[in-house]
Amino acid sequence: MYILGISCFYHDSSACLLKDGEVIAAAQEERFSREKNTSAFPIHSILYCLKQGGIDIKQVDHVAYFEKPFLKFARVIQDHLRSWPFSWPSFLRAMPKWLAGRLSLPLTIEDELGYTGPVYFIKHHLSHAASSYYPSGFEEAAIITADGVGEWATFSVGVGRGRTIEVIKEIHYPNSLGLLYTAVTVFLGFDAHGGEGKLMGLAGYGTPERYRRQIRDVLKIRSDGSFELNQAYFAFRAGNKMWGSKWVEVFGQPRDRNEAWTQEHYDLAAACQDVVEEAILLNARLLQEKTGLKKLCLAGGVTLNCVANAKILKTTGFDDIFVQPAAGDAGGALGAAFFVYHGLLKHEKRSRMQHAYLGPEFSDAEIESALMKFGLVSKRLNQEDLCEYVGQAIADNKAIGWFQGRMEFGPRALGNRSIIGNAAFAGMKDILNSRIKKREAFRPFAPIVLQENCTDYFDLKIASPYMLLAPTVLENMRAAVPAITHVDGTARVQTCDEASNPLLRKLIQASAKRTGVPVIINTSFNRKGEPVVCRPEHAIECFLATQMDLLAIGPFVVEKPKGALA
Amino acid sequence: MEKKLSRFHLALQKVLPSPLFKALRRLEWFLISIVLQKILGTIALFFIYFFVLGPTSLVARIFFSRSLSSKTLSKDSKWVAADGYNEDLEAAKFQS
Repeated sequence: MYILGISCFYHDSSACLLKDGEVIAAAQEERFSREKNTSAFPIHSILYCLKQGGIDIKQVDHVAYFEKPFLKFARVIQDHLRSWPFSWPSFLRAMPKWLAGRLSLPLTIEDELGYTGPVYFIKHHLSHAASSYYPSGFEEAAIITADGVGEWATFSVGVGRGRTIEVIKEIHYPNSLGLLYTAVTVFLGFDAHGGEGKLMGLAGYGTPERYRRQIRDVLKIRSDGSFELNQAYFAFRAGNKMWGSKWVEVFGQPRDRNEAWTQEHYDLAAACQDVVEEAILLNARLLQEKTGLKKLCLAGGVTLNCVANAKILKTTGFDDIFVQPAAGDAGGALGAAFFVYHGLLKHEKRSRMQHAYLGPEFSDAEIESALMKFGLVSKRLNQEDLCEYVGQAIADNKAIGWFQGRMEFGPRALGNRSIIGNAAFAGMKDILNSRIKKREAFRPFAPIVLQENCTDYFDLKIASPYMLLAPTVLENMRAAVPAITHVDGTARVQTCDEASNPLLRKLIQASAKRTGVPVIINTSFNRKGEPVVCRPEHAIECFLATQMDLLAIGPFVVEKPKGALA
Repeated sequence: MEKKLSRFHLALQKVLPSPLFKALRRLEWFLISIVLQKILGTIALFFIYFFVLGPTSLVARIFFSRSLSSKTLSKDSKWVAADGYNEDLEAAKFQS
């Protein structure tokens, strides 16, 4: 049985394909269309999924969509009713999008794909919950979902047992942790739906005290875990802008994106991170006490907050956490498909998600042809030699493009579309930043560590295969891995085991022989503002356009041509 | 109208290079349809917003103000009961 999951029309459009309950392909549309966070109908992702499954659209039994469009539309209309006549500009902006596609998804699917079978609409937060619980491998688990807003819900708690998910209660729009986080993100000059991770990094430089009282007036947390966004500070219900005059009165003017950073900016970021953490931790604690369960599943954009996730593990009664690697809306496609399979079609047998390498891969011939197209001279190596060669390059503090196997699903590059370097070399962060990534200096780079060495370096008792936990780097080890330790002493760790990525393990082992640490630095293979690379051509273009030293693409190694401009 | 368009075309022909003028003529109806769509779309939305949503909003605010706020589990809480999750296959086909 084939089920196609689709998420689109807001941000991070994606598609996935389930075969008898197992994910065989999943990818975000932005990787193909090269438009970051695209909201377009994910036609390329769908075609890729069908190709990967070796089927055509006629063989798809069910299509699952990640939310209920009419319910969401009702919420949008209610906001316009509340704020009429001030919402006219936003009404004029939003309605064509709704009428052009959002309310006619079955027609769009029929037009684009020729599919006329059943389409199921799964509630947004149920899709999130399902995306985390079903592939977690847990027999039973507590579930928390948190994001900006779905139809009405912005936050929900529930329990998964066997093939059933029970959503216990939820918090409704406009009370939203995600919207608060996005408001502060935009206020500090970052982009919404992408800049939130930067805000998390920025928070490490500040202390929450300066704005603690004020931010607690913005987000009022009650003892039962519920919370309220004080609407006196916001203007998003009229749809024209995020914050209102009271916000500006209290927090000042928004930062221009070219403006220099000040301690006030850092402290506001820290206060926002602090209050959001408090709400999540309180709910995790209450849910654990109420259910007595020891496993927790997390999904929704807010749960990409790896700092908060690590604190849940450390300070609540949960001893294991599964966070969906595509925790944002992209993962909604996966959740909707899973829910149709287990929740609606009542299939009991669940399979654990082993890895997030669900995107396309390319044959050696395709890679070689791309290299030839760009006129690049390459060396072909077997796997052992490739790892030794690149391991030596890491020890030589080179910046290396590492393009191998299937592309990752979700926002993180997990070692198949990565730029890697020496975690033991303090200057590596500056090299990657100045030569390739050109990103803000405050943003940390993440480590990949061999699973068995994780506890030697990090205060983390469980595996973190998807880079969604940011534990503390052990104090006595900080000097050994200076390139990946953030200013607050944490690191966004990815653990690597044999089953999920044997080639990456070999590479880290080869590097460890030379550097003395089984840790490498990892950042996504892309340039600033671009989606992560997907095809060999994207990787080669990025390699040539930046000052990367080496490209390891499939079995081929390419040194930067002498005199090449970047 | 025909005459005016022709004059318009003649004027364009005088000021634009020939290839650009030809390309524009080919695009003409396409561009006109886009402009019309924008104008008519805006008029239709204006009508809906001010003559349908407006009165509805006023009535809702006066007589049904509680329907515009969410129904929480209690006065002191912001939790809302999670309804509508136990769907069957048929119910899941609905978009609402």
